[in-house]
Amino acid sequence: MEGERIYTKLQQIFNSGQKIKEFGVIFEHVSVNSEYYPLFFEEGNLGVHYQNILPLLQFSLCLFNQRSTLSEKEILILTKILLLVNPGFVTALNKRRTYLYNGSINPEKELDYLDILLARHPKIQELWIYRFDILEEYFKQNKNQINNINNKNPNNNNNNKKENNNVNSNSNSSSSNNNKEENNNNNNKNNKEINERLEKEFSICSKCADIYPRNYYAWTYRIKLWKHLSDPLSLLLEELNVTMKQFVKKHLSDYSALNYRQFLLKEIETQLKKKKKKKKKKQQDEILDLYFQELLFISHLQTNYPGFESTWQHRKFVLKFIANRQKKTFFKMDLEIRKEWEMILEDQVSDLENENLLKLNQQIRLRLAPIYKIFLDEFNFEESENEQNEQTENSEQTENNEQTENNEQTKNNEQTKNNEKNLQLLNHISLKNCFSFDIEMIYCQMVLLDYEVSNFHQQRSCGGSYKIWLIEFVRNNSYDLNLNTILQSSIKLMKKYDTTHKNLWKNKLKLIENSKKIKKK
Amino acid sequence: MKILSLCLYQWRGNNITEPKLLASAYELSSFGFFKRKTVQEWCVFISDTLVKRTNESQRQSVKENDYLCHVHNRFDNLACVAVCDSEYTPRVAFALLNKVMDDFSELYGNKLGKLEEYPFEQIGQLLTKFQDPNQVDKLSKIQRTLDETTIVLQDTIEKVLERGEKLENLVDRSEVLSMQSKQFYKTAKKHNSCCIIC
Repeated sequence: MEGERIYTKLQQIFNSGQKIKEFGVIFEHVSVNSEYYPLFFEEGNLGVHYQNILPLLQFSLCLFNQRSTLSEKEILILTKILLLVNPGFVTALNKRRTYLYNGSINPEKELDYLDILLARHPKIQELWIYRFDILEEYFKQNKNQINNINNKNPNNNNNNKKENNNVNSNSNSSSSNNNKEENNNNNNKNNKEINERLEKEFSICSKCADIYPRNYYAWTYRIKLWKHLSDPLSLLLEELNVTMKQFVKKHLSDYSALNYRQFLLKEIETQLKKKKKKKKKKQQDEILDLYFQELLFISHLQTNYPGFESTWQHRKFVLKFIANRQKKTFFKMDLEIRKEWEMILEDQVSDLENENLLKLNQQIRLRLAPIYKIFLDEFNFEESENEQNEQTENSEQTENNEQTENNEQTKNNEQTKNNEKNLQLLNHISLKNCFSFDIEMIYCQMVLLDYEVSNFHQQRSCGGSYKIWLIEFVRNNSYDLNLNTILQSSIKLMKKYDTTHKNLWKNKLKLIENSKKIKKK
Repeated sequence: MKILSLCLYQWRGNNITEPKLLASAYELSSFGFFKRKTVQEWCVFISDTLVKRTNESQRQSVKENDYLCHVHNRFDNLACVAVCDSEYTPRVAFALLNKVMDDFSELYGNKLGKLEEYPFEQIGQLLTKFQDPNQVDKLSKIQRTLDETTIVLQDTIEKVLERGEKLENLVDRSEVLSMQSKQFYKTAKKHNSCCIIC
């Protein structure tokens, strides 16, 4: 029987205790002389030929139906093999769960086994639920170990109760110094173990989110992990600033990653509030700083990687928070800037290659660059080592804008002077001080203009709905905005781009509705 | 956003009937151990097919499931293909193709067709350097619009094939694909799903 032969071979491999990193299906036959014939097993990679999978499955299912006659050990191996081939088989999974609570299964090894299953099938809900149960069991057993160690020292009875509640805190009471040191050592070991385990869990979540984007189960599991830490603030910040930034840059269309960043921001806020050491104002300032940094980060992504709707959706979240916290400054009107973006909106309709528009383009980019800290490379805001590089880059910029050769030198000088001024500005201007709705609108217009100039048609439609949402948001909170100009220019835009911009039609209707509301009021 | 493979071919020169693979580099660490070989063979197969089906001095981008393949067939008998995922900025991908071909012709410009082997290590370095398009984007920021040759975007690889040609036949006849990859293609087809490289 084919199935039985493969089953026994697999049993051998599992019982030998060798570490299995991956399981896969192979399409070539293994040579008869190899050690694990008919299986492929090298350096932890276990492979079964695709023609052998069905017989293996049939045999194991047959055995499984007779499980009442089998011993515990046999059932453990049987379920292990069954789940390798068919990880969605919930009955086998539940059987393993009973043995987990029984104590027959080592949680750590079970977590490693689950890694193999998840690498092939990252989107099976039952596996993630099971993984969470294993993790809870693992932490329970860890706590019990510490309690057992401490119980051996009779002087530590007072400490035990505290340790039951706070695994990570260092408890101090009226015990001798030696016992204190032992306690601290145990707690530190435990901390290390917990942190190591959590790092592994985070990495498996990232891996599964990489294989299957917007993997709901992986991300919700990741969120649940934070409950196991009692003092997570520094880790949260590291996750926000380091690991998640790298992940988001590699997976820009994965909105779940950005949603996770939103969770992290909220969680940091609650954790900061728990720490009552600092005054409320300082706390709120800290939190607001985080959100501004987030806005800078997302602006970078939008300008450097155009065409991802997920970044614009995330921007909505960040903007709502900031606008609600800084109502007075956000909704305050800035006439100069307002004229600028309304002008861009009108010029956009007439002629994109208009010289004046390009000049304005350049000016606005120079103005936006220090605020949002974008376009930095283009304008060479960072102190450069060679002045020659600056001059060559300046000449390239001016070539793009103007074609007269006589004025180049004088304009080069102007550019360098401007750049110097702006370098000084870079250090003084921060997004916080000058952020308002008008600045945000000008940023939108700028970025969307960039998208329109670029060749690839996919990038053009992104961000349009964000602009409309922004206008509505401001309308709902203040009445400073004159909708008529926006309405007229958006209608003109639609006529220019015809049917390719369906979103604009929706916008038109919404704007009309809003303007009607104004008339009524 | 990642680039899976980068292949450089010699095509349309003296006595050349099939595109000759000069140099290649792959980045397949995100795939499991058992899938890597198959994915690599498929990348080569697709690159082969695309080079043959692209006209001289033409750029094409072909979409296949979640992947976008960019091909540039240049005037000097060189052709280069990059298989990327759908997030990767196409502008940067074409800049990469240009760079590979420029660097290669600097080294071996006159000797094309005369040597047997063309060791070209830089292709691997370029592949890793361009994995993060932002770092290399200074180049493409200054050239915001590409030069006159437009890029053709195709929805599936079948649109690139000639009339009456089917992907199945090409797969069977291919010398590049091993038995494993061909078998994989057939079983994937049986399950009513397109050939998914994931």
